[in-house]
Amino acid sequence: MTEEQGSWVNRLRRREPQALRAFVSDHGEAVRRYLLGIVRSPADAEELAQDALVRFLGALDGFRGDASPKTFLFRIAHNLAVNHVKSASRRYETTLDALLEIPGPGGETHDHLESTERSQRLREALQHLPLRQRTVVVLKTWEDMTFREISEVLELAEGTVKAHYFFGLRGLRKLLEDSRDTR
Amino acid sequence: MTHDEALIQVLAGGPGGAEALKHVERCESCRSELASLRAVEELLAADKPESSDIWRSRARRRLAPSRNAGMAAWSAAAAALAVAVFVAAWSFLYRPAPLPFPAAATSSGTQIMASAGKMSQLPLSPVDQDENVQLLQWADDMASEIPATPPAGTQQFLSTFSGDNNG
Repeated sequence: MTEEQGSWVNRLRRREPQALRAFVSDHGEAVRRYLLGIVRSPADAEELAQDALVRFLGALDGFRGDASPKTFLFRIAHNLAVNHVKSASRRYETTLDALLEIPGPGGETHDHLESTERSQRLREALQHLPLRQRTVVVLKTWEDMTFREISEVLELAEGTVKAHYFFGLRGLRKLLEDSRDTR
Repeated sequence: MTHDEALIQVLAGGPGGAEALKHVERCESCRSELASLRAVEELLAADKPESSDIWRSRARRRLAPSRNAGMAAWSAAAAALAVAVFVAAWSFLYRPAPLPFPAAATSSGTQIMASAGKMSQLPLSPVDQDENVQLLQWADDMASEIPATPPAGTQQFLSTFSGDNNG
């Protein structure tokens, strides 16, 4: 942890309002986006992201700075996501939420519809990837994390993370081809 | 080096990258595979979810429990202070007060005016307070302008009303 990060962590420990605002702006959105890629339902992603932020703040007193605060935050978010996905009942709710939250076609332009449909197919495909591959792909493409950072979040070897990324992209390509063929 | 190993190296970087790159350049299936994987990467990057401002405000509220607790403590303290001030003001305004005018106030104009100058100390009904503030201000101004001793002839003039002068 750098000196700047240490100062930032100390301000968060003191719950300084300005530091909290900056914390949510800088990292809350990234965590929510990552979780959206893992659990799909925006409502679940928001709830889990808030949980992650709250737990991160609660755990700061015991944070020794072995990893960067960002990595620590994403590790918490990842553990929450894993628990969420593993819960069968939550999975059912997620699917239901996702179905209810898909926007309707009323008043949308053709381009927008096409883009929405492509986005839906992509996110649907993401949900069918094995969890680790999904996590690596989302952290890499949406959060621009380095493989080293991802390896710290998942507590895996860097080489393993790279392999997950490769097989994740390949799996996605296959899933997208399959969904195109069945249309 | 296998096809997959070469592709991982080129896609994700790492040691042996130069050798992997040579392999991919020579291997048509690897080149095609790499291009399709890059396309998936681009699709994903273009599909990055947009930010949610509503969520941000909600998250901030949830993230500030100590601040909320502080606000609640301040609100309770402010309410207690307001009650204390109200009770003190009420006690002051409605305390039993002596008559402001001396029993023999009619004895001279100076005494009457001096009593008028003390009107600012009269207890006020809260309902009339705004109006009375203006009146009392006026009375104070008047009192300050009155000379300490009455002008010559004042005593004689007043005595014509007190019955001292009977003839």
